[in-house]
Amino acid sequence: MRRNLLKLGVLVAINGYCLKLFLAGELLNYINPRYVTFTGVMNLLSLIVCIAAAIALVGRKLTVIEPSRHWWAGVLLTVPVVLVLSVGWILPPQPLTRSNVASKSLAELVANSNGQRLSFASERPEGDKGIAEWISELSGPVDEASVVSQPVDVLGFVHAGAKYQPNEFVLSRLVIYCCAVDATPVGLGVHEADWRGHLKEGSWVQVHGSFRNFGDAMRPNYILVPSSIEPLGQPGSYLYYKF
Amino acid sequence: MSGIISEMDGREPEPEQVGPELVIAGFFVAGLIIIFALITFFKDQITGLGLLAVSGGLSLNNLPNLIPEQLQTFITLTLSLVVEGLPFVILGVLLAMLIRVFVPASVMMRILPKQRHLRRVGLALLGMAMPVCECGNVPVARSLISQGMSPQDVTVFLLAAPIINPITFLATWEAFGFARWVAVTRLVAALVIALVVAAGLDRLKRPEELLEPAFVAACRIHAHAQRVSRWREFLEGFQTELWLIVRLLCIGALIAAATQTIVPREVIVAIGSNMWLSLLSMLGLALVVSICSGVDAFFALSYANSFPLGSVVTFLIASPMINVKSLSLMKSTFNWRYLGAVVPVVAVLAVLVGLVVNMVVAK
Repeated sequence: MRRNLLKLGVLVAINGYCLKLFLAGELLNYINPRYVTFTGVMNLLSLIVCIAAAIALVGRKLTVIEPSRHWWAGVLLTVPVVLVLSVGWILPPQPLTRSNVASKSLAELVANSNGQRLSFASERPEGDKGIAEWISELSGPVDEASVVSQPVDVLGFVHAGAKYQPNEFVLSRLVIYCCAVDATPVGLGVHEADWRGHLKEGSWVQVHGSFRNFGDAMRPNYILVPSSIEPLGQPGSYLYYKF
Repeated sequence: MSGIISEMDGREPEPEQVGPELVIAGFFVAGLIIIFALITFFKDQITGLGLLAVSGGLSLNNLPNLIPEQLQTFITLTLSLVVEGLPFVILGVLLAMLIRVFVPASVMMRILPKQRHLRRVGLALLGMAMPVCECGNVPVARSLISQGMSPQDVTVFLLAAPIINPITFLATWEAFGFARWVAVTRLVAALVIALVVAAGLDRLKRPEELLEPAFVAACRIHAHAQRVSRWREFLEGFQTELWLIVRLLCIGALIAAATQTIVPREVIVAIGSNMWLSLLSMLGLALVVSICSGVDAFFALSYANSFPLGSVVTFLIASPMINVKSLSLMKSTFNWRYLGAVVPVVAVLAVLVGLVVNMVVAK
């Protein structure tokens, strides 16, 4: 019975960890908001059933018989779950880092890329355009005069990009489709000669400036030409989500 | 296996000995835990309790600065896979237990067509009724086998259902708005591949030997166990299944996160321009990246710029069927011999479909 109670304890701890993330609003560090409620509800249900099973076990109303297997096989199978659980409970959520971004550098979506209208969740007030709003606008048919005349003020991290010139970088955000595993950079091209001299890849910067069309009327290629680049810290909510 | 199945048929439930009072007690204790979690979360706001402010939890916030970036990434990816997969696993286990405890095996056999291929198509279409991703399908598959389905039949469900479900189809339809045939191709190819794999398994003399011995033993124990109340059976089954699947989910998440962190994605995708190599690299990506089938189409879309569309289709077909996390979960039920037979066949057929698409689109 003691062993089964221990197993139930581990399951309760896992459900409790997910519920803690849910209540603290920290699930968004790991998953798309569309799964948040579902995750909270399912873990609560599981918690209830596991506790009910534990109570039944203590009251000797439940007998869990499992096929015997080598003790070391049980230990080997259990170590990973204890490891994951310990790290989850002990450490605060870890931000996705530059190494993560670099490993995904060839999968980015950038404005002008494939002519499809892209849209991402953004918390900015209406009319205040961030990277998400500019990507959405530039990925559809636009009036060039209107685009190049607007002042641009956007915050993102510096990313070398896959298809850009040495004097260009991508001002990026990470977008999550499902969970952090699929985080992919999305961004706007920024024209800045010798940017590697004073900007570190992965650092967060606020860029002020305006767009210029480096393509032609048939195949526009809008790149942001900055008037100033200001280094900043990582914002609290640094991820975008695709709905 | 048929012996096990026949032993499990015809069991009569005994009068209930344990009722919903356990669930009510569960609610009570869960409430206490939630209150505890709320106190933990709002500890900063509880100004009167100075002791809480200097508790270990606050000082741990500085730890990320001390952890190497690669390790931070590994931890985040592992936890995200577990946190994302767990609710689907719970839903799958709940569904599986409901089927096992409340739906007699004879009913399931009566509902499905007798003709083998039609029955398999019916099982694949179960994905429409159970719109959960591949993680949630494994416990349901275990339940189906314990109710007497053959491993071959259940293979069709396992492979096809994650793709033949309305959420996956609509997501693919929306993501590939510029080429909607991708969604249809994915659906049809998944069904055909699942049927082909099952037909291949039919050729084995004893397909039941593809099952994991521990799973067969568990089926035997349940078949011989004295029938208790349905509530007790539900609680016992839920605990046992969830314990097994959660451990495998964690192992799969660790492997997938480690692979993603250690192997730079450039290595996989740098060869995207070559039609043949791009097929293999997207297949490799499908194995490594273990994301939910419901949204993998949006993820795949980000590769549509640099890869031929057929290679992206290969990813869309292979990923829900044979990604590392799924395989880890499937190991709970099937042995290495099964995985060694199924994975190469699915991989080859997925590449073949991608190749045909590439050739047709190129024309």
